[in-house]
Amino acid sequence: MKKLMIFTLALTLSGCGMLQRFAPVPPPPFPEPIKELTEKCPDLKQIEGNEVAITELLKTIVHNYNMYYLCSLKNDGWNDWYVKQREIYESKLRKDAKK
Amino acid sequence: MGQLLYLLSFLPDWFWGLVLTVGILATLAAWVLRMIPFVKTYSLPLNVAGVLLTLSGVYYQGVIANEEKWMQRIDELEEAVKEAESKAKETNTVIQKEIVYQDRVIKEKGQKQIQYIDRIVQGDTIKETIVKDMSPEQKAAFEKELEALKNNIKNCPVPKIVIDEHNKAAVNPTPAKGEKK
Repeated sequence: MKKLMIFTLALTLSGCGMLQRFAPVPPPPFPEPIKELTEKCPDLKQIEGNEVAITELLKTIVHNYNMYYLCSLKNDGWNDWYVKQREIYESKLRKDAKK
Repeated sequence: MGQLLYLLSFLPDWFWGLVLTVGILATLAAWVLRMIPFVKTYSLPLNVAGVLLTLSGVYYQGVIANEEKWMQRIDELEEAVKEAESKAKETNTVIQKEIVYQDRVIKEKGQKQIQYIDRIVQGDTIKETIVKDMSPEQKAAFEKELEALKNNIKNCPVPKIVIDEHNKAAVNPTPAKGEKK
């Protein structure tokens, strides 16, 4: 009888604490993207006219190379943004949630 | 059951402390009453009531402790969310600064290169700037190249087929969503 009493007291003392519960904390808002990265990459420049000097062709090519690098910068920027934001999320929130 | 527990949760914490104390005292009183001949008949109901009160008192002490633990956990998580939010904003600012800087560097480089081509075509200012640090041999070679370029610009326009092929290559074969193919 005493053992039953001790067991019942121990069980009741837990106050349902043994059950898995989830803390009602809203998830963090999705981080805002950087404005510069959301801009669409422009179309490449085309050459106009029928009689075009070689330097005009060269200038268009230089302009298009330049556009490639600007667009590649955005792509690298997105990758960088993703890696860093994910790192923050995992180091700050996952670690806390696992405690 | 859930609603009942919800309603009971509105009772103040001290109430459950009182229930536990009363339960223990009633159990002890029942034990004492058992030794007194005339009143020992009351000991059983008192004992049952005491045990029930003790059990519910102990249970609610557990609930209160458990609730405190979870509230603390919620505070910790809310703090972590706030920290993550501010760190995310900080990171955005750092990346944005870097992007703006690199964007400017790339644009400036492109503009400089196009300006350089224009200057070569114009030819007038070349001698004072580009050629000034060159040795006489380098200068002669550069001027020869410049002459060849001028001849080329004057006499050899880029064939139309080359322009057409260039323009075809510059067209995006996969237009963005919403654009007509």
